Amino acid sequence: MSIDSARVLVVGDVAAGKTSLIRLLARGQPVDDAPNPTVGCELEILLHKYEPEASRDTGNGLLPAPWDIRSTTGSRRSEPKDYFIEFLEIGATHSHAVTRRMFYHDYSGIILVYDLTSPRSCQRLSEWRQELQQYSFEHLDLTADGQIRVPEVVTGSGEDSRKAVPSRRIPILVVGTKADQTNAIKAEHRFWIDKILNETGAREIRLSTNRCTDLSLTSDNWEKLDSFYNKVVDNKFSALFPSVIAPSSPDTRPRSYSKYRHPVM
Amino acid sequence: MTLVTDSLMVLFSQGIFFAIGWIFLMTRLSKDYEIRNHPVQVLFCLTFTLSVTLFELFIFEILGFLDVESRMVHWKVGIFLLVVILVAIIPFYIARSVVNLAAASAFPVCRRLQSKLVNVLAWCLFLYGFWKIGDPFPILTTKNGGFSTMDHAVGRVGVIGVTVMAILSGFGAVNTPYTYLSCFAKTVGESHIRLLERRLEQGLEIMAAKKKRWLLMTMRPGQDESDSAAWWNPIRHIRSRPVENASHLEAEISTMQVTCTHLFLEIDEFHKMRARHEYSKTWKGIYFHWLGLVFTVYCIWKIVMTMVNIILNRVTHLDPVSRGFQLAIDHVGFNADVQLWSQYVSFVLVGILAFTSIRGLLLTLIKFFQFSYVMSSSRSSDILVLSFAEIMGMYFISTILLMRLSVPPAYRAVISEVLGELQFGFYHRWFDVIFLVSAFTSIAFLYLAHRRLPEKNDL
Repeated sequence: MSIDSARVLVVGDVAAGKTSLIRLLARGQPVDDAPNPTVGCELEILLHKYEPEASRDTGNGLLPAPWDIRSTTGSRRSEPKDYFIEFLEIGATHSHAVTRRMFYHDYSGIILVYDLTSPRSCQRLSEWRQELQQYSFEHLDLTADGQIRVPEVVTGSGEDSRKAVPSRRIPILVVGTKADQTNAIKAEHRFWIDKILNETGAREIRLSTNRCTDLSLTSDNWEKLDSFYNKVVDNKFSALFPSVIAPSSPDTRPRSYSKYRHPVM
Repeated sequence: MTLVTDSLMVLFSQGIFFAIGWIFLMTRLSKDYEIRNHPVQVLFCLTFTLSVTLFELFIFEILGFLDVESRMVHWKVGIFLLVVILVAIIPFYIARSVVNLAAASAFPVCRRLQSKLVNVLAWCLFLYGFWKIGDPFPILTTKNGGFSTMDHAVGRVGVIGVTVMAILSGFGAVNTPYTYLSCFAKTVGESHIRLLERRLEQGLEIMAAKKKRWLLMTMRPGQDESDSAAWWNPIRHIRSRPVENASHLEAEISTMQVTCTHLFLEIDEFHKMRARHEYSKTWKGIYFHWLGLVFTVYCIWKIVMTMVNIILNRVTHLDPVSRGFQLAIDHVGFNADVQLWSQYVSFVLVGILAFTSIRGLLLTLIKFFQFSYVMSSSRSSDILVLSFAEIMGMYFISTILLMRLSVPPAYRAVISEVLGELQFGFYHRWFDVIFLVSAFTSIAFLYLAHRRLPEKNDL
């Protein structure tokens, strides 16, 4: 039994608490001491129990979306399944701005982290989202001698690595850290956060990475986090796009780079 | 009455300098870490303002602008305030920030250290060290009888500042040609960068696989990994006890993390090299390339002259302006009012020197800040900004000190009077020595760093 995994990018300003956040989410324990500033990226893994709900509330009274239908051709089971969530936290140092774009691919979720004590990190949330939008790419195919293969007309077969990917919305979660510090944010900075929340339809969590009570199982935060993980898994393993997101080994996964398609966020 | 009007003008210009320093701090230095601590910001801008005011007053001296008396008053006040800030206030804040940082760290011993007493003790230690620095150097002339504490303080500030100046000049004299000359610009092919990025991705995959395995192992202890279908798992052949397995895995994961970090830094370096190469092809790049050539010639000439000066123990009594005029009169027959012309030329020279040294220092500060991603919190960035303010103040005071020899004797008197009874010849000699040492060290350092890069025909 192999467990599928979905990748989530964690971005935000320097010293916003991203590394502490992913360690808290993955291990369930707050970190002892402040980690060093991230150079490049940090990776943490979480095992998430995906619970498909019988009736997913779409919120607008319409019929459930096509990918909710439990079809026999779908790649999802109707019983709860385990998935690995990979948190890839990107170091936000300004001097690595060009190099860190190499991580912006093959992800199914975004966590935007801001610092509750820093107004500037709220303003920069939309800049982060724009950077991801602008520089995300999808893999191309690579021929045997290392030349980049020019994309051809889609043939419709499942093995083609360059199928026309319909744009799909990537789920976003906004997290405010350092809730335990008293100099909380002023009202006018809520403007930036509300702007992001309205534009992306994301949900917001506020917590402190020094304590795990903010994420207790009965809290509101936990429910939002859980539904975010479910959305991420849906995004990657949905029945509508079976050929694109089939989990594969590193060697068979196509390897090259191109700005093929900008995912809609 | 003139004192009041002159003071108003000086204060007005000081307000402008303060605003410039503030904007610089907020926009260029705060790229990564926000500098929000108000005392730190105010101290940095205040030091910057006072330092630039000194340059401004010197230029006014040359031009004969403003009243002599009011200029002298402002000189004295400016130097006094600057020295007080550099010797007393900034070290106090640095000591406080260091004590706070140590208290917030993990060591329980340091936590108990946070108290005002420790703060004051650290500050006294700094003052003592500061005093001791000046002892081995022949700073003050013993011609006149009494010297004041001001002279002592200014002398020691001068020593530290001149050392910093010489180190930066030496490094700059070697590094600027290296950066600007395109023939040094080795470039990396795009495919090489892609190769490294692919390698980093594979490293990340391996680390992810190991972490997943570790997670499963710790969640279900004793149960062996049953997915023999996971053929990409590189550790599936290990069948030993799960506890040993877990710690073995943890060690492997941390090594993998270190490897990935180094690989990322290498890729970053190559990206920057490519960017430099691209830049050198643009018009601006070409212009700077030729400027770099001229500058290289000047730097080599300066290094050679400094060596000659030290070896032959020559002391130049004539400043460049007067010497230039002498040459002009002797050879070209230049027949104008030397006094007036030397005034203008000195003004231009001092203006250029002041502008380039301020700009050079600020750019160096930015570069230092970009490399300081080892800072882990905004508290450390406070310490860094305060140390920069300190170095900046000392640097500018010593620039004024050393500019004494660049202007005709008529204008030297004011510096001698304002800075006290210092033995200026010593400072110049000290500058030359440290300049040479720094230049040769940077040459060696850059040569080693250059050899480490991949050859062009390897890519």
